[in-house]
Amino acid sequence: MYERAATATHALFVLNRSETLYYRAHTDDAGGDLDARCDYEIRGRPLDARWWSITAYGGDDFLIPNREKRYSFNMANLAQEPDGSFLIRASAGPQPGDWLPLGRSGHVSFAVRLYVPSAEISAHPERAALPSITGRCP
Amino acid sequence: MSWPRRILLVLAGVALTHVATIWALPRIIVRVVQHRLARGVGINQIHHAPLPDAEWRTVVMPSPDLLYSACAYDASDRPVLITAELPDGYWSVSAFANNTDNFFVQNDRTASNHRVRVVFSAQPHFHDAVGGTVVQVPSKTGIILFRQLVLDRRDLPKAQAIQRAATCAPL
Repeated sequence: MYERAATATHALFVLNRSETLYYRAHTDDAGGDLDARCDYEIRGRPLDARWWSITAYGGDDFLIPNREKRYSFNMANLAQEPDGSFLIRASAGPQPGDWLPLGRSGHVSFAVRLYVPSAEISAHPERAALPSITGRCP
Repeated sequence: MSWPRRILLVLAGVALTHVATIWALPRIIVRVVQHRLARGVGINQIHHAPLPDAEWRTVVMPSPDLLYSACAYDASDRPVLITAELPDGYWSVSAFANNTDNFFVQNDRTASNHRVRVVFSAQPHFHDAVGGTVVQVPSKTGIILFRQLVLDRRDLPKAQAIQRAATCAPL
């Protein structure tokens, strides 16, 4: 009952886990709250799903206003290094490469979506090789 | 009444109110979405939304890569029929009961035909003479949601044409 209430409030109309897996990050790898005043590096490798994306949300769980109208990166538009890894820089100010604007939204969060995940990940969501998040705050 | 008994009564009241609120919250949120859709296009009618951006305030955590269409269904009197054409990429239709439970999902790969036809019925053992998938709804009202992936913005006009071909109506 509590899970349903929380889902309705923060992630309404999510699909079942064989169709989609949703992961939310409210803190970086060091445990610090994600904050638009900080610069973040999100590093990872392609995820085991039919398609996947990484989206930034403001403290109100809606997309963050920004001049570039860029709210996410996905498997199709993310630049990959020769070894297959990717790097997203998330910050208020512009960054080289794949930059995810955080605007002036205060608290932020990142969401990873795996649409039609592999059978193994669907059965064991904890095994997904989620990207790391490292932050540098003023 | 003694003070200990009064305190126990107050605590019991608080606990009951808490449980009732947690139970009711998803249903209230679905009701709000249903009313918004009903006000916009009506019940058992489909609403096609543009690609979500920062102006989007309909439902929290929208995916900016997906075209959404939604239908507030009411199968109290008659079954509700949805039809859709499949794009080349990811597409799904899902249905949510009035408590937000996701009770049905079909995507472009699990659909048996290129032209999707699903009947949502409150009656058990309903048969669709045209051979569509029949789903018995756990609640007579709820939400049906269509998602279509748009990986390349240049494909948006084609994706929107497919989006607008989807229908939701009483059978």
